[in-house]
Amino acid sequence: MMQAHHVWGDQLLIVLLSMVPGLPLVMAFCLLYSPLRRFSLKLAPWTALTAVLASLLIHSEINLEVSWFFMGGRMGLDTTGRTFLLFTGLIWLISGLFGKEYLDGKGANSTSHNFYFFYLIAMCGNFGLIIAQEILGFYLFFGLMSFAAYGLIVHNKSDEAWRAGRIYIILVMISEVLLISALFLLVSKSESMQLSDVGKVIPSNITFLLIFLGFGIKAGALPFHFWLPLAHPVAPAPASAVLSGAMIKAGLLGWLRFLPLGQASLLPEWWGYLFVIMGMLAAFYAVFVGILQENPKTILAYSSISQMGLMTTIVGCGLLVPGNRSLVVGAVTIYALQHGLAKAALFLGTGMVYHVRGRCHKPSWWFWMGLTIPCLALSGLPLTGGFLAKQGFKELVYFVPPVTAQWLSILLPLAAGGTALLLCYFYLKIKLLAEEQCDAVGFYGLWWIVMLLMALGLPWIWPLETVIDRSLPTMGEVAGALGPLFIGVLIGLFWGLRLWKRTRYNIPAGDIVVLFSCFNGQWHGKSSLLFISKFQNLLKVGVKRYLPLSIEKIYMAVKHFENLMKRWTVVGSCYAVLLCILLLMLTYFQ
Amino acid sequence: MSWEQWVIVFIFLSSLVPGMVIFTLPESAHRLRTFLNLSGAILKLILVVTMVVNIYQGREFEIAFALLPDVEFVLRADALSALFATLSSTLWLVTTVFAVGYLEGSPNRSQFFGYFSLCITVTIGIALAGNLLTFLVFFELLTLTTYPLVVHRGTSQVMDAGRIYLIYALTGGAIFLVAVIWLRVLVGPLTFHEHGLLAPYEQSLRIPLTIIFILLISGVGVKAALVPFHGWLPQAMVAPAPVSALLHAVAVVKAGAFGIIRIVLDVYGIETAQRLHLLSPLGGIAVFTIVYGSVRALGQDNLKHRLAYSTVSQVSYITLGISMGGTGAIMGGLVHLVHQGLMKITLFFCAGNLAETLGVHNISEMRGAGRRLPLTMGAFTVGVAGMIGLPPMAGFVSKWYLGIGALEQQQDWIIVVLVCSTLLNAAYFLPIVYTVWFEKQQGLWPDERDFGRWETHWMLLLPTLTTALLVLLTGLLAGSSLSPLAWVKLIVRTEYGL
Repeated sequence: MMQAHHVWGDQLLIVLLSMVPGLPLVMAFCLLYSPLRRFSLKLAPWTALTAVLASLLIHSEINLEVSWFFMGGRMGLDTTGRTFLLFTGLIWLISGLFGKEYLDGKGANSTSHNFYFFYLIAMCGNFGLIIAQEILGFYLFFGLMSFAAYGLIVHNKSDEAWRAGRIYIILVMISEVLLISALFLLVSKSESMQLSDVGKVIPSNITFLLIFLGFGIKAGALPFHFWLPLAHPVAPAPASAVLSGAMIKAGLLGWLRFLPLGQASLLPEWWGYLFVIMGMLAAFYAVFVGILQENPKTILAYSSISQMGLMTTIVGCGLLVPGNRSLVVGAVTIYALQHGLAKAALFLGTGMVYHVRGRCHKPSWWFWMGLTIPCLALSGLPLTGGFLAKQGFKELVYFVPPVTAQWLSILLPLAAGGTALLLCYFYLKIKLLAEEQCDAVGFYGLWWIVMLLMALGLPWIWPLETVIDRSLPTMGEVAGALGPLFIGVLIGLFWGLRLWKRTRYNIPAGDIVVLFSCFNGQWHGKSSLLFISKFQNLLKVGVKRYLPLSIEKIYMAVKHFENLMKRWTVVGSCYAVLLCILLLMLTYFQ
Repeated sequence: MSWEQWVIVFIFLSSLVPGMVIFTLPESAHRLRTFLNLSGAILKLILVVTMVVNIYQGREFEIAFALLPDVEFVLRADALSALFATLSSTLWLVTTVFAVGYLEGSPNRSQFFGYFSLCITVTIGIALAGNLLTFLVFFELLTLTTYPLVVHRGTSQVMDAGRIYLIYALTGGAIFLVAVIWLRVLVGPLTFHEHGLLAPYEQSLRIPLTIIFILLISGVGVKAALVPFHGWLPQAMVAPAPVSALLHAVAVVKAGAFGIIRIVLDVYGIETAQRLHLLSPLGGIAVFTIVYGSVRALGQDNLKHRLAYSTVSQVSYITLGISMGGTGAIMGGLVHLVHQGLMKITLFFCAGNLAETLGVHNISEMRGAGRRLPLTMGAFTVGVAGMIGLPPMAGFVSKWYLGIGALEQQQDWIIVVLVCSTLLNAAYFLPIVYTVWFEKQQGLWPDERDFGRWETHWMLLLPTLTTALLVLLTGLLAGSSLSPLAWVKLIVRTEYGL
């Protein structure tokens, strides 16, 4: 069963590893059984502790076969997996604990077991895909997580939530079929189901595109990013936190596991450029659309798209550099780690402002102080995780082909400025919102502070695959980081405080989804961009009027045909004609 | 007679005798009838499992005698028979339990259960048939034993549907008969053989063999619901739920698919059929049926109609796998014989529970049914996930092997078909799941009955949960040596040497 040594401690670790996805699953089903409900509701968030413990306790690379599981399973932890498991586990743990108080306070106690059912299943999926070491296990848990997240998104049962859920589930199905096609092609090429083997074969162009799109949907890559700004505002705060902090990182992990990184000499160049260009496009496009939003959670969603764009770019660099796989993986991992924790902290913080409890008072000064921390960290303030992540990225840029490197060295500070701008705008928006609403910071504030501390400290102390320079930055580096940050904040302040006249352009959340919205008649974006509404009308006329009409016609014809076939005279004569033809054929050919 | 032959005889008697006795029982003998039914079903399952274990150990089970001069009657259990026999007898047991619960208090139960037992006897005959003539005999008998079940309720609408079923099935049967006799005259005894028995005649009888193939496939294709012979299946949905379950998962449709497997693999042989260029058209029809059935399912509001069209589509996965040839694809097709049965029977049980407990027949009436029937609807969700082919359900295993097999045979376009089918399945099944779990109940249920402690009668609930669990376990434990997949691997390895 096991490759490593048969020692007591190791056996325990294996049990621990199986409990990482197993315990949330068991707990989820306990929630369904009403006598156990109160008890298991209390324990539900704590099940994520197994993931944190596993990532802390398991040092050696564990890799064990579970042959009875689903056509041959294999689970284990490598260095990348450990880091992903750690920050994912922390986000699930803290958001879950936060959510318990949060949902209670909302007076939604009666439905909170519904929420935690989906929460635990999605958690199981997210942990499972990290420890899965063969493709079918990965695919299984990936699907489990994706489908369970639907329950989190629609939890509030508002019209917007149903709409977001519908769009989300359609994208999930598309991503599922893209991935299964990719897996078919990969396995028939590598003839192995192990992730370690699959990552080494060079996929065909089609397989590559399938992987890009299939995981890109989850990772919020262009052009399938639009579910994020729809889903985040409608989901409860802890759900948004795990969606943005942990679940979209699963798409990123998928790329790391399935793409042949660091083998540039064997790959077509355009693969890397596709990732780099789409990534950079997302990074800037999301900032542009984000600053036209009103809802703070939508702004954060766009910020996530932008940040995921940067991570996509890093993966793209990984496809462009020869060798240095570990450098690439390290850069992506630390970026994911710091973004996940910081973004989760931001979403939880937003939840605290939104949250109205019996008594009414405004958030205190420490809340606003605290909220600046993840904003600044994501913008790359020196001494924060964001700064470290950007340093890691810069180190990688030395290795990519010179022209790309040149472009990236111009674009990266701009992107950092964009991040600062967007988050500054977010900060102002949420401050304005807090003036209008009132709030009480309850016990869950504590869990928020824990998340903040993790976001601050973890990037510094967690051992990573590659040695990223974590010594104190030089003055030059500090200046290089502070420049874009300062300019971004400045523009953000100007923009957010309406110090110059704002245009009336207002892109609806989910931007390009308006192009598809004509397919369902219930919702129309409040789009004031003339060309979009024109295009929408065109589609509406074209698709809504003529497509169903022609489908209807075909449908009627088919129905008519089937009714005809029901008459025995028709069936009988068909058979007779068939027999005659066959007999004729026989006589003719012989 | 050796004990192996006695086992075969008793497998038949275990349902034949109870069936005959039940015919003579008065309507009121409820307990005795149930006892006979269940003990017969359990006995049969035990016998079949014994047989399977012994086949695994290399023993031979065969009975052969001449029915008429030159007409050999052969019952022989090879690994493929064992697969179908195990499936049928397992599902028969659960369906019997379900039927007892379902028909409680309705008239003519003795007649119903009598035919019910005959039906399974005949199905076992199809599974164990050792040559094409024996297969033919049981195949025709199947039509005759299932017809009374379809028209059990006896209303005029039901009789109409029954007539359509009879016309389709008898015409199919007649064509099949012609083809079998023709083939028998041309090549002599038609004992099933692993590599087919027509290879020697391939050159000399090219055209007749092609025509016979077309006739054979259109004969069994009626039962396998290949488009354009599928028209009877949605009609036959007027039958009671256990009969639908039986038609779709255990006996009729399965017998058709099994017939296609036998004809392609054991009569013609994969290589011969390939060289005669018979398989690509068959694959084409299968693909068309898969897509057509799913598209038609989209438009149905009646739950059982939607399930029926879904069967049309799903059963063709089996044909598709066989028609591609190659290890992976054949494995995918064969294992789907079992998997489709488990998944579809679960869904039909759920439809039956809805009808019996709440009086709900249409999808639009199912709003909020998840709160009222959580276990049933949980089983339904598992079945749906299997149908779409989501891991770790059974359906995914079939899809996986079909996809790998398609690439093995350089038929990459099949992947596109699988993708389309997956999306279509999701499009017509996921909205039901949404309606059931996420929408609120509106008004009262059409015809609600209270069953006390459980959400519905335990005899309706237990079979549903059992098959749902099997859908999950056959998928999740597909790698273990007890799974259908492991048995299919054995079939493919030992019998076809692939």
